[in-house]
Amino acid sequence: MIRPRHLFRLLSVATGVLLAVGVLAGLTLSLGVHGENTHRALLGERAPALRGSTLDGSSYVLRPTGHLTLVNIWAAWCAPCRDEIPLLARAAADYRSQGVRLVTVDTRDGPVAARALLSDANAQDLVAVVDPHGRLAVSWGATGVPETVVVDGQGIVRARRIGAVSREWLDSQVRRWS
Amino acid sequence: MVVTRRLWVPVVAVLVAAAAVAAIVLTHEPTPPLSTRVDRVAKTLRCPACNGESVAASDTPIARSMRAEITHQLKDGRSPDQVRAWFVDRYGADIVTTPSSRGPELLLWALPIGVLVLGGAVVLVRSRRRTTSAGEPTAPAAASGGALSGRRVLVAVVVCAVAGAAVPAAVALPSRGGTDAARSSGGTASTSDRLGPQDWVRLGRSLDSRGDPTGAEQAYRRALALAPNNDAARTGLAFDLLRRGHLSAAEWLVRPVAGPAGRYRPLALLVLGLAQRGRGEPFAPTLRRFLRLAPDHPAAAQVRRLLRSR
Repeated sequence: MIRPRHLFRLLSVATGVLLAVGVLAGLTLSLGVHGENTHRALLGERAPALRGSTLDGSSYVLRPTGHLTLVNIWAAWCAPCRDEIPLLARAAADYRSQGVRLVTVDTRDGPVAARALLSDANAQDLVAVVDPHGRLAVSWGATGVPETVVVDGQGIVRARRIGAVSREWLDSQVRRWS
Repeated sequence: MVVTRRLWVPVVAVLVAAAAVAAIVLTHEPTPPLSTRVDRVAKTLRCPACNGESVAASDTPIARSMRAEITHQLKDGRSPDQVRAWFVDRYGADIVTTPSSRGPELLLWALPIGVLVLGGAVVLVRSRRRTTSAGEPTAPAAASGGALSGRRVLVAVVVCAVAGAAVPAAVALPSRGGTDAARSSGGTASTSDRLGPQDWVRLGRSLDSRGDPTGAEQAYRRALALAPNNDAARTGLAFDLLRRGHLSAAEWLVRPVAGPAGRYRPLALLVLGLAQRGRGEPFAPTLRRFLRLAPDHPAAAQVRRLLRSR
């Protein structure tokens, strides 16, 4: 039989411990459990559909072909995207011989500004699917632009990069998932 | 007693009838317009690019895109819960503004209850101890002190319960459920007033990188209101205005920065040159000066191409 004095102490300590657990849980949640969850959404899942008209007037449908696909979401009004486009164009050309595809989604953008950017950057060969209302970007779980998603040959989402990519990052993803 | 019992029957009958009528009226509420339904769903989703704003409150491009998707899905006949589930599939459970009742967030719900139950037990045990002590001759003041302590402990329990709910939530949710006073127009004046010109410039850059030129423009304007000669704010605002086609305003803003030597001179020259190009004025000398000052600037390659293709 526990004496009341001991029971009082025990309960007081338990209440304190519970409060401490609350603070720790709060800290844990704020330190990235959820941020990571947001960014990791779709990883390991089948890639969403990607189909639509492109800036050059043709149509595009993403289908698994056994080769890696890099999907970049961008807009001409986004300064980091503008800086990134020449790098993407070079990477797309370099990876073509390996069967790796680089597809872009031009989201919430004016087609004139987007075409001008591709032209200025000598990147007219980039496939740019038009996404006037941003619905494609949202279906791919984009949190902003630029954002790049890596889809393996079986159509499974393998990695996601928020913000501009570097050539090193692209190369490492191609090596890892090809 | 018999009269009271007889009165009970009609009272209960009237209450049941009233509840039934209320239920019928509530369930037959006319369907609200689509915009209202979109807004209701958007308020339950968190803007992934913002700090603590809902999709309904945010004006960032991604929030607008998400509202477009909500509109499309509701038009297609999907229920609000189905729409929310679709977003959870894309963005994870955290996209919903209310904490879920699974995983680590279960603690946010369970802790206050746990603290309340334990605290209640503490009060009970303590009051029993005080009552026992009051009967002992060695503790004559214990009875009155016990009552007072009981109230104190009760207050402490309530405070603990509130803390149990508020502390984890306040620590866990600032990046998701809090408000970004500096950014939103509804921010408190006291928070905004504490920001200096450099804070507004930093905020402007951050909004620029998130694809929110309108918000960035407002931030740069706030910086300029505090420090009219702030080169960073002038250049940032000019860059936003240039991208939105306000060439004359952009040129006017950066001219004073493009002349004298300074940290922001290269960017000012770039904006000035592009504005001159947009207005059909001679721009090559300005852009060449930019290239001389900042040959490794991220935009330098594009500027070189531009000058070659002229």
